[in-house]
Amino acid sequence: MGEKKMRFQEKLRRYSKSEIWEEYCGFLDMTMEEYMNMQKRLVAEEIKLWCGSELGKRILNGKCPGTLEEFRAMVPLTTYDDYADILLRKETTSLPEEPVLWIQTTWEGGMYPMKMAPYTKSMLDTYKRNVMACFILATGKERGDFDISVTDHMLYALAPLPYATGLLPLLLHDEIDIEYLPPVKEAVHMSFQERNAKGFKMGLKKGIEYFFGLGSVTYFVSKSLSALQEGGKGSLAGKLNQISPKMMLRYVSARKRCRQEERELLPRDLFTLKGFMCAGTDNWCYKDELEEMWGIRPMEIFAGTEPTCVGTEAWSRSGMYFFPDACFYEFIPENEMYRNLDDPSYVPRTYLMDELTAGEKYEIVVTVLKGGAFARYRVGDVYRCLGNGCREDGTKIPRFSYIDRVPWVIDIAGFTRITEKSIRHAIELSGLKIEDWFAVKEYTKENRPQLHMYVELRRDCISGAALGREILKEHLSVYVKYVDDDYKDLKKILGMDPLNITVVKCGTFEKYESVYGCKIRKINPPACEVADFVALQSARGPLWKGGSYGEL
Amino acid sequence: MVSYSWVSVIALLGYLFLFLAFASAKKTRVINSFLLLLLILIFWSGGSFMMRIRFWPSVNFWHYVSIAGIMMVPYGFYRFYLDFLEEKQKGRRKLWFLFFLSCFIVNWFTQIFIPTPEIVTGTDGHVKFIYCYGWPIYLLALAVVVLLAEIIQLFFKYCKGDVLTFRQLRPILIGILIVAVGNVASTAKIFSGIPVDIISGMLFAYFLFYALYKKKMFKLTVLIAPTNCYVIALVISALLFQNMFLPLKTWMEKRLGMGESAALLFIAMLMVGLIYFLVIVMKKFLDNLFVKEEQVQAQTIKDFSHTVSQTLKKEEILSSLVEVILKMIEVDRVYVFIQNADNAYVMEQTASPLEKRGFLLPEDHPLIQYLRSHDQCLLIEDFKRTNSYHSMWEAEKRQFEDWGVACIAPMKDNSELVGVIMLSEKRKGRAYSYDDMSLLLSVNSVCSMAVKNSRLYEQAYNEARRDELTRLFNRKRFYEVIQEQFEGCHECSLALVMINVDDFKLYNQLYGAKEGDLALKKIASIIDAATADRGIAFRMVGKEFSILLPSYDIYSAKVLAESISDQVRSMNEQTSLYKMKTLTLSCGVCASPYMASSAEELIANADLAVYSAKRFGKNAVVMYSDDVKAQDNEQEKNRKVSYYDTYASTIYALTAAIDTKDHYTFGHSQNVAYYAAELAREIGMNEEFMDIVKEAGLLHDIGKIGVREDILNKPGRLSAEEYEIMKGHVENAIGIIRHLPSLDYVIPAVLSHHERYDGRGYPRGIAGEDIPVMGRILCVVDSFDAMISKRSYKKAMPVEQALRVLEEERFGQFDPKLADVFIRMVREEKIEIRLMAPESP
Repeated sequence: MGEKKMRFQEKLRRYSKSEIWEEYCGFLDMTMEEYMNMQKRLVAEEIKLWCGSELGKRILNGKCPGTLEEFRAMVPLTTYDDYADILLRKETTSLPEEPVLWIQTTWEGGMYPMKMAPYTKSMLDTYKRNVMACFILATGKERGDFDISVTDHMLYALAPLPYATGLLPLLLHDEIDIEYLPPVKEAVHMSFQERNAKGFKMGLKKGIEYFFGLGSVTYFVSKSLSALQEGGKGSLAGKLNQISPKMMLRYVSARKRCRQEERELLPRDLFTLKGFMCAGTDNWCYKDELEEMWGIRPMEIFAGTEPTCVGTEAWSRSGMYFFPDACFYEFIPENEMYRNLDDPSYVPRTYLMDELTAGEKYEIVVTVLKGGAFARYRVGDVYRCLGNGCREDGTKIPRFSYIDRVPWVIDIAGFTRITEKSIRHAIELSGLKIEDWFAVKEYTKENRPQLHMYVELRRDCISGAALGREILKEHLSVYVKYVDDDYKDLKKILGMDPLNITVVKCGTFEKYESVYGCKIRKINPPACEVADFVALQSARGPLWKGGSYGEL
Repeated sequence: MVSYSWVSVIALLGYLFLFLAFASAKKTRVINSFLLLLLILIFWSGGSFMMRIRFWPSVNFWHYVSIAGIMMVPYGFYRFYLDFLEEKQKGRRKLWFLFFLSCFIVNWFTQIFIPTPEIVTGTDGHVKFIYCYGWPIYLLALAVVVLLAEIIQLFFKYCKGDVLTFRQLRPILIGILIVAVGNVASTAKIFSGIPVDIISGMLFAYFLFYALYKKKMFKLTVLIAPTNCYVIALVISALLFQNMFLPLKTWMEKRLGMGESAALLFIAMLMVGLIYFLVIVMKKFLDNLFVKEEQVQAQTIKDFSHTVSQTLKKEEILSSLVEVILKMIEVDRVYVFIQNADNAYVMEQTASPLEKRGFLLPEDHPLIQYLRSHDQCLLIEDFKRTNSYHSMWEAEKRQFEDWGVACIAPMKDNSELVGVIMLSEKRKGRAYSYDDMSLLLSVNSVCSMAVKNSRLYEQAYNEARRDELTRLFNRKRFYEVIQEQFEGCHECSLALVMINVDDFKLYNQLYGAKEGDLALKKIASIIDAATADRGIAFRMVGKEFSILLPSYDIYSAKVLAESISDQVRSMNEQTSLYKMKTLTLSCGVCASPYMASSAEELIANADLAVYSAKRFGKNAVVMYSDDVKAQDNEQEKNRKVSYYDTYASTIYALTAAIDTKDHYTFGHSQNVAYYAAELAREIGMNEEFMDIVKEAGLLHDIGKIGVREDILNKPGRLSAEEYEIMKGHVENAIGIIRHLPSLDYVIPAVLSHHERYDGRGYPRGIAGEDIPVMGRILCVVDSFDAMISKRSYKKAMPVEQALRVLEEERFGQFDPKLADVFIRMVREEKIEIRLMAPESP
């Protein structure tokens, strides 16, 4: 004890594969009871620390919970607003435990542009172990199996520090000397495109064994490889002098094979990935194609700035499991979430991991363990519970699939956090004469996410101004980019322009309200309501709306 | 020994040595497989040796023994390899076994693979065995290659990305390589006549042995098994005999002039002596080399076992345990946790007296849960890799780090976890060995039994010092503790609170002993909870309690006593059905050194303060002072005034109220009061009791105020509904009296006067002794008076007939003893029969 902790690569020499797997991924063998015991035990420590801190005392407002039940009853469901003043000022003395690191992320629609989250030493240790577990599971084909070597290389397509994604290479470096393409120290000074180009160039020389990034980004990077088979500057043929003989051999045989199969060159023709991990939203849109391109299905993990690394898929890639030692999890059922959305004064009920119903959607609420600052915190993500355990994985704990952000936030490809406030702000800045609007996240025929805005122009400006769909789109894109930095990156990094505009007939919003007795929700109204809304422009008969009929 | 037969001998001896050593080792699948492989190798080299010395019965026989060995080696090794990797593959095992067995059988009859060797005698007289292999040998070689391919495939399967397994399998791989090279080389002409195959086989066996050793599958000390000593001694003697026999015999015959038979006899005796001497010397030597340490350990454990069996004191046992661990293991810090009565594990002993003890691991602590399901010692590095460790609090992890815990040993008695021992890192950073952990388990096993016994003793000891009803310490323990505390509290204060429950005898009489016991238990739990861990509470006797409060001054003790007093006063407020009598306490407080200089004085002064509280009207906390002492002498003797007198006017007012409504009830109540008081006197009750039962008699039907007059005075039988209303008069009575706290003491009697001894009465349906004695008295006299009175709905019953009814209803409606006494009193005219005047219309 007290001595330097053994690194993962030393463990590779000292312990058998099954022992290492057991150490990092042993939580997958837990029963529901064991899982909950661990959760409840760890949250008991967090309750003690959090309730004793200035931050906790302020939120508790004089109450003093002693048990988990009291904690759930006395601590309200929190959002970043509840922590903003203390965390943004980095008041470490007000926190449950002194942090060693602060991680930041954008706070779209918030009081300030950034959110800061403190990380304690214990949180980082847990984060590290859980990231290693993801790493192990990403390379395994069955229970106890993994394939990690010190001599491997990782192509890494995530943002550097102080963003949460920048922690991963740091933490992994603490455990194993795998090489990052390009090296982390160089990567922090490069643009996204430079990093990709350099990483790929190095990959050609050294090989790529792991690939990790946002689903959308990995797709973009993978897609850009297809450009390599075309001639010209930057093509693979032009780089032949820079690649290893082994890779050259691969390239030659791959070209031959591609010609025979009459298809373009794919990354899997050149690289044999051991592990492929992706994070972020909308991963399902890209997974199949990524698998086709790399010959290995990406494994999804869930990590965030506030909750740390909390979930991972296993070898079957059929749903995520939450790490029992990162956060204490509560779940708000979908109907409670909507009830709270319609009536903010309503306090939604929460359920614990062992109280969930298979097939239901839940909004996740976390209490960050190990001295974390966030208690009963609404992260803003929605999951579907797939059921308890999986026969293929041999697990007994609940399995989840990531659905999306909460309905009042639109996240496109893991980049943006568009809210009602941000769109309203963009419209105001644009000066466009928009009478009313709503926005929905939709998917194109190619399964790509888009931000679809339904806009009604003011009657008085229709004849006096050029407000065609394209002009509106141009205008709104410019101002959405202005108010949302991350939206800008969609175009810059992924070349995406996800805004789609539908101009609706004047008076449709008013008509909707008179027919259905309420206004349509501004962000992500349910699909049936959107259909009703669209139908209102043409239909004359009764329209279906949420189980009741209305007359036009 | 010719023709390289010494190679076979060395190989044979080597295999025998290993075989005998492992025969005494703990058997596992892999050890069994290794033994089988050694046996096959013994066949191979033994057969080869016997063949080369042309031993009886024939060269051919030994050749086939050797061939059996050589042909089964691939199978033996395959089996060993699978077991080493813990791979099952039952089908493939059988397949290869049958294949190589068939090859041997075919070869036996056809000599197709390995023919019988040609025996060539050289010019120097040396005999050579020349094998002439044909091409079919390559078929056999091909099969071996296929088997090797399978082995290598498994090798890659297990070693892919697993450095540890690669390291474990590396010696085996080298062994295979050597044996393969050796066997190929044996077919080459250059090695003709040299048993390179046997040499390679020997090296192969030792590489396998090394692989097992690296995997820690046996203890190295198995190599010095007694049988091995005997075999080695025998071999050395045989070699000496072979080389020395002839020269010695010649020397003895020529120089000493001994006859041949005498010389032979002498040499034989010399050999026996030599063998004996060698065995002894070898054993001593090897014991000193390897076993001495084990013997010391065994002796230490024996001594420890003896020591702990001599005592029942847990402190002594644990102290010896720590001592023996410090002696045998190079460690500086030891922490011993022992299970307490709440099943938590408390740190009770440490190697250093400066360490803070009392740290507690609750029953559901992940480490405890882990150790409950595991019997072995646990290295912290291994524990850190478990889910249990990940369930620990960060503060606990830091605490473990502060203690420097490196090894954790469970202390188990059968499957019960009695305690846990934690040890810090060994000196100079040495790792904990297999022997260290075995030793820990051994001492723990001894200690667990001793601790369990000591706990039983402690339990019995505590039982003898605890009050059975309240579970507080008893009077005996009080006198022990007060002496201990007084001696230990020279520098600090020691307060004593004596508590006496007021009017508890009355409470018992009112509600019965069962309720009384319940009240005592409640009071005890209030006292215990209030005292918590700041002092020790005792039940001295009956209704007397005491609290010893070390480091308490007299004022703080008084505050505590007042708090207890308040809680006891409000104890009975929650009773829903009726308000029970309020219990109060008289407390006396004294503290040393302020007001007492000895334990006896402390007790006497606190007692005096209690008496003072009693004299000043009870329900008070009195601090002992000189005034208390003075007042004690000046108390008026006639202070006691029957407080019942105070309530006489209230009782009169109530009975007058009923008189206006139902004149019969008024007269009946007076009769019942009279009979009840007389009966109480007859059964030996005191004046106080008689007063209460008399008042209860007056008030027992007070509830009838709330019953409609038409029902009260109905001439005929009551309907069921009316009867139910009538029955309600008992609750009505309680409803009236509960608002008169000064009369609450009559409630139990009033409430229970319609209860039947057989439990079929109302309102509570209680039976036998559970009915308060006053209730049972009222039941007898109330029924008697009702029977002999004339009512609007019935005639008066003759007294004798009423007495017969009382007799018949003994054990039914009435308490048999009370009924008997009352009947006797009437018959002996000890009681005046009061017949009521006929009712006025």
